[in-house]
Amino acid sequence: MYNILVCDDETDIVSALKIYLEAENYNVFCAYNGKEAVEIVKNEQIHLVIMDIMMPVLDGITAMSKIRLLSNIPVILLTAKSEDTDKVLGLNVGADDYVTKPFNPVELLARVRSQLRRFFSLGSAPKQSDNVLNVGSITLDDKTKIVTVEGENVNLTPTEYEILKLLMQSPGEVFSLKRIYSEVWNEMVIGSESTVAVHIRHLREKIEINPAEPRYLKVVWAKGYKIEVGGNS
Amino acid sequence: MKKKNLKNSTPFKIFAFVSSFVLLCITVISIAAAAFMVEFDFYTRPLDALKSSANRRLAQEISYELADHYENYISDLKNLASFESKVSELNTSANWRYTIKGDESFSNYKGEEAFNYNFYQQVYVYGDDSQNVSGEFKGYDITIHVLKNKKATDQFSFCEKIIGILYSLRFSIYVVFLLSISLFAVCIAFLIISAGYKKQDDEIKLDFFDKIPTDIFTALLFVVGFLNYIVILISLEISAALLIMSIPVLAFIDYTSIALYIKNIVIKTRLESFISDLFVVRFFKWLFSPVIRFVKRENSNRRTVIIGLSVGLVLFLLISVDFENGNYLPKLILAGITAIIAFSYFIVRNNKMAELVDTSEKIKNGYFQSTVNTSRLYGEMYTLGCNLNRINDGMKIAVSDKTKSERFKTELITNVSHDLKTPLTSIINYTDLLSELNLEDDRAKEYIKVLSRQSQRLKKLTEDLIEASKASTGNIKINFEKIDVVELVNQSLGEFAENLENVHLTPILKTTSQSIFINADGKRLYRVFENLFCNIVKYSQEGTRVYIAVEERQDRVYISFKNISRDMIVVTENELTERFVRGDSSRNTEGSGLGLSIAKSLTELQEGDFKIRCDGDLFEALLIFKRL
Repeated sequence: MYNILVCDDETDIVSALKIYLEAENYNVFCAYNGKEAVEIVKNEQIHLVIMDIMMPVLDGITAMSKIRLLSNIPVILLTAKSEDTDKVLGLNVGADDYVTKPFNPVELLARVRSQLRRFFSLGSAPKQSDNVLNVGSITLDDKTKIVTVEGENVNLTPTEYEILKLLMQSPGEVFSLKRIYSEVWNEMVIGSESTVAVHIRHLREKIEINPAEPRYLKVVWAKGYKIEVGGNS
Repeated sequence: MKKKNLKNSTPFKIFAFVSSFVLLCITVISIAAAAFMVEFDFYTRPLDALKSSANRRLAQEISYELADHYENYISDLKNLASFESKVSELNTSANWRYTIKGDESFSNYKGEEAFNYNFYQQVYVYGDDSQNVSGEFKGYDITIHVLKNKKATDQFSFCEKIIGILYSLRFSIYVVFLLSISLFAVCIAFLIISAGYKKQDDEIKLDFFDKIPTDIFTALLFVVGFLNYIVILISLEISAALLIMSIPVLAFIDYTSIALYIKNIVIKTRLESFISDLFVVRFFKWLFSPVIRFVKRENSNRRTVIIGLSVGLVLFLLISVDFENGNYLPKLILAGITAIIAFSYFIVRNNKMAELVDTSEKIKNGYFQSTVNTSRLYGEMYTLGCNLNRINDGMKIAVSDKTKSERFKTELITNVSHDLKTPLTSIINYTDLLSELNLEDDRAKEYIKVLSRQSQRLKKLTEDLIEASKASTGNIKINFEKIDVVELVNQSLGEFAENLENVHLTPILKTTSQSIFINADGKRLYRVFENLFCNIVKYSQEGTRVYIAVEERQDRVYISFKNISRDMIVVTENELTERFVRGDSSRNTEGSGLGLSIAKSLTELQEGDFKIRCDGDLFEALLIFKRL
């Protein structure tokens, strides 16, 4: 049973989140400004914080830096600002994830689950072995052909599996459609690049919480695709 | 590095300049000395012979004076006292003695060891006119004894010393000459190379002397030469000493002026402004600039002027040339002057008018900084200039107001959209919660679906609204880089494969080559493609084909998306890219009506052209970029 702190000056949003989180069997604490949130983190055993940025008394960014002085529990920022610069600022001051309003409840719950699992279950680095590739919390075992994301098995088609393996072999490197095609299909057929793009879109849907804002399999528009941990898309 | 420092150091330049002057003097003196020595056989005769001939010359000078005194003595009734005082005045130094042998003999020679130089002189002695006795010539000898042991400093010892020095230097003088002339050349070379460079920077700086036009400077040089001449004449009148003193001063002044003159020419040549800086050229430019401007300018009413000119010429000929009278020259001149004044006025007026036209043209094109200078305008042209300025000011204010209000609008839209998002979050969340409740009434479920769909639409609308306002005001940072359009089209096709399939659309891609590069922002260009694909999915007739083409033509890349519209397109092509305009007037389908507006703004921010074409039901979006 995890304790989750929800902090937003809009009571309706706090209540809605409380309903969602309690339905998933989390214990929810509520705060309505940054100061209250810091107090609760100080006094209670909190496992994860969901917090708005624009709040009265103490704003989310300041509150977050105060919470970071007390603990390094996961913090998910929740805000109406959707600019890239806002996201970068939030992540730079120590947030673990960032969700923009209006949010999809299912996505938010998935992110909460992911952060808790990362922090409490997968804290230590996974064991290395010859046939296992690791990028962040994605694990690909070439022997058993099993792919897990944050400990959960993912079912991939053979093509998707080959593409993922190719990308994971050199994390951070950008692969163009032509290159992926020639390496996975072992032949050069011009005009079939969009087929590869379709496979990658499916792959992204399977391993990402929100395929539109991927955390691992990133699209470099007009250049290709890459697998990478952290950073901003 | 050191050379550069020297080049910019003013004290060093002054040092070089003064040295060059001194070296030049040494060179001249050495040349003179060498010439002197060649003339007097220094290189063929021994030192003693040289000294002896010098002594002889000096002795001769003395003998002439002695002869003068002796003649006076004879004609002055043999006034011995006067003769002796004059001779003793002459014979101040102890280095020589004399002997005169005539009617009477005089001598102060006491038999010392000496070189003797004999001179024979004649004197005409007048006879007594009253007794008709004519005069006669009487000869006498003068011997000058120059002592071998010089006792005092006089012309003989001085001369011997000089000859001794010159003789000892007779070969080394050439070394001195070569050395001084080469050092002089080095100094001059340095001065020429470094001319115009001042401290700290490598730019050529002009001082007062460099700004003088070269022809004016030439004239000034002549003035300096003339002044020299006058100074020398005056000094000659006053005394020889003054002349000797004034010569080095004059030489230095002349040398400085010539050096400055050369520097002037060097710098002007270096700046390639030698000819254009000439006073004559400047003067003629100034004189003819109105004419040149008039001739150069296109679109001026040149034809009117030419007609005016020809009519004037004909009139001028008719009026002025009175051949019968014969005396037509004054009339001709008068008429010519009148014509020139009239033409000048005409041309100047025409140029001012042209200026007004130019300014109005600039204002028309949006350069609101340009104003008319009304200080040189008169009459109705002054009014026109003032009015133009006033209109310009009004435009300036209007444009800045427009920009301000545009920015204000963007801020307002962004803020309102942010504020809309918070209540919207609650609406979406509670609608979602409501849908999970066990409602018995089927109508309630239906209503919840409507709520859910419309709140999602509202969400999309607020997001698009922010983006549209930012894109249309250029409030977005574009990261330009070399990108492959073919890759991007393929990626987009991958993203939209299912959406297209769902409405049974078949995409067909045609490219002129495998990779086509342009300069754009991949992320933003994808937003453009995304909006276009969204429109295609939303508005295409089901089961048709979608043609996507990426073509290189000359230096441009054309990216076109063609699809068949499901409904009749009732709005014009231009209206489609306006904000909130949609192909269907009912506004029933999802979408904000901002997609094409955003696509157009983003394309233009990436320096591309965005065009929409409708031909019946065929809808085409065309993006044009510069090819890399």
